[in-house]
Amino acid sequence: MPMIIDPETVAIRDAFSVAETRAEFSRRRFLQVSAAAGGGAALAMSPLLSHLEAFAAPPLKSTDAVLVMIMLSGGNDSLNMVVPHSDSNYHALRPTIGLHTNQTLNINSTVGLHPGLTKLKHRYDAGDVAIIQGVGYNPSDFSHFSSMANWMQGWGGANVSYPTGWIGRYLDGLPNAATEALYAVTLNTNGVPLHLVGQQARGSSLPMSVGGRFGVDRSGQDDARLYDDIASIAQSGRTGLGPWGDTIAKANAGVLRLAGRIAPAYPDQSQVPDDWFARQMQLVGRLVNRNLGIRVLNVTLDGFDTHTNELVNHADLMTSLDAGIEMLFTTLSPTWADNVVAMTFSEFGRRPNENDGGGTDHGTAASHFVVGPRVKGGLYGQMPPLADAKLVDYGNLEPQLDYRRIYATLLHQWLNADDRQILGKTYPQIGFIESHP
Amino acid sequence: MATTDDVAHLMRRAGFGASASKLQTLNGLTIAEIVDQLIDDVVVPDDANPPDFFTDPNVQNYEWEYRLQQWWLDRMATAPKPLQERLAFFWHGTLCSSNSKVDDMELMYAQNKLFRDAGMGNYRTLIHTMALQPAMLHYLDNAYNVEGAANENFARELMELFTLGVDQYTQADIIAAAKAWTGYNVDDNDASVFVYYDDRHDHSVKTFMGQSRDWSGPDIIDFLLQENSTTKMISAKFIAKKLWTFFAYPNPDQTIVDELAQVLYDNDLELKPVLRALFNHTQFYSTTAKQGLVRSPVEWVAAIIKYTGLSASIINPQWYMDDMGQTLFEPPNVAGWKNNQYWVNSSAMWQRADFVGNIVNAIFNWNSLPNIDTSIRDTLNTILNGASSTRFVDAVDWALAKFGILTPSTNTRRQLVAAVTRQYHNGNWDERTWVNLVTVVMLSPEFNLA
Repeated sequence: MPMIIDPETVAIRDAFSVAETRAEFSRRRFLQVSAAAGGGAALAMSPLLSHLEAFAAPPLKSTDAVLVMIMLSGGNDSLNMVVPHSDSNYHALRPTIGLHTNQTLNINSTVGLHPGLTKLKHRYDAGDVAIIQGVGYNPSDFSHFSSMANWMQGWGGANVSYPTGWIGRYLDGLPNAATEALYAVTLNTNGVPLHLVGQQARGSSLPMSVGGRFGVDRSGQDDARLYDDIASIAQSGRTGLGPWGDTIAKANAGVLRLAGRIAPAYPDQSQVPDDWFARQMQLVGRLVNRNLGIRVLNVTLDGFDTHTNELVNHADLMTSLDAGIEMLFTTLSPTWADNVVAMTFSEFGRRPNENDGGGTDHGTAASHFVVGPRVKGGLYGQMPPLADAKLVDYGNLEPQLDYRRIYATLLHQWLNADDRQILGKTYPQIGFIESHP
Repeated sequence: MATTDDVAHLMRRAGFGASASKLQTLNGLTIAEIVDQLIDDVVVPDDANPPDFFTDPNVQNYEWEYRLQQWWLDRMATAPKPLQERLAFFWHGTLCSSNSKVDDMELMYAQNKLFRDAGMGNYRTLIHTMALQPAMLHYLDNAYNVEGAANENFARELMELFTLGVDQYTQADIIAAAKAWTGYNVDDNDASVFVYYDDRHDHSVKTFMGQSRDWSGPDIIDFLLQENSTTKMISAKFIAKKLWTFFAYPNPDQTIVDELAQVLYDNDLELKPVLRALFNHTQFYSTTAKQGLVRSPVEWVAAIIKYTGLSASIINPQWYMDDMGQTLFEPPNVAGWKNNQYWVNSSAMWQRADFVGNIVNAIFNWNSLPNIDTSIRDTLNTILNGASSTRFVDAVDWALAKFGILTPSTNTRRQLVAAVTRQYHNGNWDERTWVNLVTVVMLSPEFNLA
């Protein structure tokens, strides 16, 4: 297994989602330092954590690009999303859950989209969807957690002592990275996922609704005073209660500042769609339209660990994915729609052969989408061969294209960033970006 | 003899906090004596039967999940043996199942009861029982793992997350273990019952960790946790580290892990000795430990129930806890909940503030609700309206102590006194003074630290 990540289970788990503050990493360094110093080095480091003070990023210019990351959590079975519908090997491996030529939304004689992706197919036909096939890495890792940690880190360089995420390292290069908490946001995740965490920069997690919420309305004198009382605990910066005490105090104060700033972006309940993923994508669109300075937005569609009953469960997920992407681009105002690209990612694809539960087990390579008006639509990469002799790692797909090539392309061509520095290595780019705003 | 601060810390971590009067009863005891009480005290089991609502015709099935969440939160706050609930909570976040997949609260309750009844017993026995309960069979798909196309989900997580940790096995070991677990399913006619179907078990000779046998599922557990001393020790370290992380602080020095693991190993994976060693460990009482954990949403809500005396059925925390990041019976995935940084982010802390705002305003001020303990309001009003020249400080100290904060930081105490004084001098002297005071106390760093 690649040793770019801390092999300790707990460290991987911790890295999977981390605070908006550097407290945990600071704490780890503290423990290392204090171990080296015989345990007494105490809390002299508590370099906490000015960045919750800010909650304001500079607004985007019309030439700035926005990236929406769609995390397909659980390991998307992309063979039933981008389907090799006429491959007899595919049908032999999937006698009950395989999708047939007359069911799929066909792109050509060999590849078709899941029948739930009707709106995405329209966008594909309009030239706005890149389908990148056979994406993965070697050697594959079948664990949800360490595999997702790999995708989130996106690091191809030498071993690092603690992990950072590829978007976090991109944010590190923006002005005032350590203090701008709205450069990147995540919805519907517990904590900030690793990919939004850099050496300095750190995304924020935003709630799905704010109606009637604490701190939003300061019109009542007693309410306003209460909010100020709470913030006063963080005033000195030091609570005397250690890094976590300081972090809690600052987070409470930060919530109160954040509340006023983001509340106007939230829709009335009457405008909110039923589908949870579409709700996230609507909010993403509205946050972009408000131009709060957010460069990267992360959303999650969960439930892809389809070990059983996949035909039904995966179809529901495809319908949600389709509705959500459509919701994003129809919510975006004309001012911003051309500045947004959405991409999918997932920890792994799934096993080509179905199991007896009508599902599939953890696998390797997968296809992914990049969508937007400035995307050069089409098929990229290659569908991995499904013939028995071509399968690897106990019947799995052989990855055709390293996932970091997608990152390199987006960093260089879309976000105007130094892909080599951010990824630790030069990866060949793929031509799916047509033009920059 | 133990300091009050040490005892309060122990009672927060080994339970869900202790009232000032409870701490009084422990006065004069040593830490070792209190730990013995926590571990050894026999409490008459008061949950031999499932909670009443499962058989109440007026409670619909769809209500069972939130009712059981309320039931457990209340139990955490009030049960006579809080360490038992703590351990049940630890195992719930370690040997995870989620009702979002299991979709049967009676099965989830059966697992919860196992974690309560056996959570301080033997680790290997617990793994054996847990593995064959329908909640786990459904959650990790072994319910449908049969010869021919083995489902690897349970076999993998058994090793990655329940015993050895990642990278201590190969993909070939996973495949062999998955075959070993074929046939350990649920009844074709009743998916809430475990059945072993011998004709669906793969009886071929499988090579697992270099040993070629016709492995059964339970053989795998016995090999990992009994027969093979190397994997037994790896697992002891894995669980020892999880216990220390849960009760003391994350990322402990390896020496502490090794020390506790040795206790587990030497006692054939019995849990009481390792718990005794953990709670008596000098590092457990270090500043690193006392400041090392943030209260998770469940721990924080249980503390609110405990200190306000308001039961979960009145304050309905279950509708808030998802956005705080922790819903009982719904861990986010098989790796369970994480800690600290996982709870301190803007949306999660925002939800805590919302919850406190609602309970304080809606409940404490709401005279029409029956059986509400109004002593917090009444006492604070009495102190604040009294003639004492120190009444602002007295009110702050009383409110902090009421919520179990006996040694507040200078900073918090000073800011609270300033806030109360400000309210008075602004000529706005009314109920909002104590409402605001109690709100800030529940949101204070002290009350949000474990």
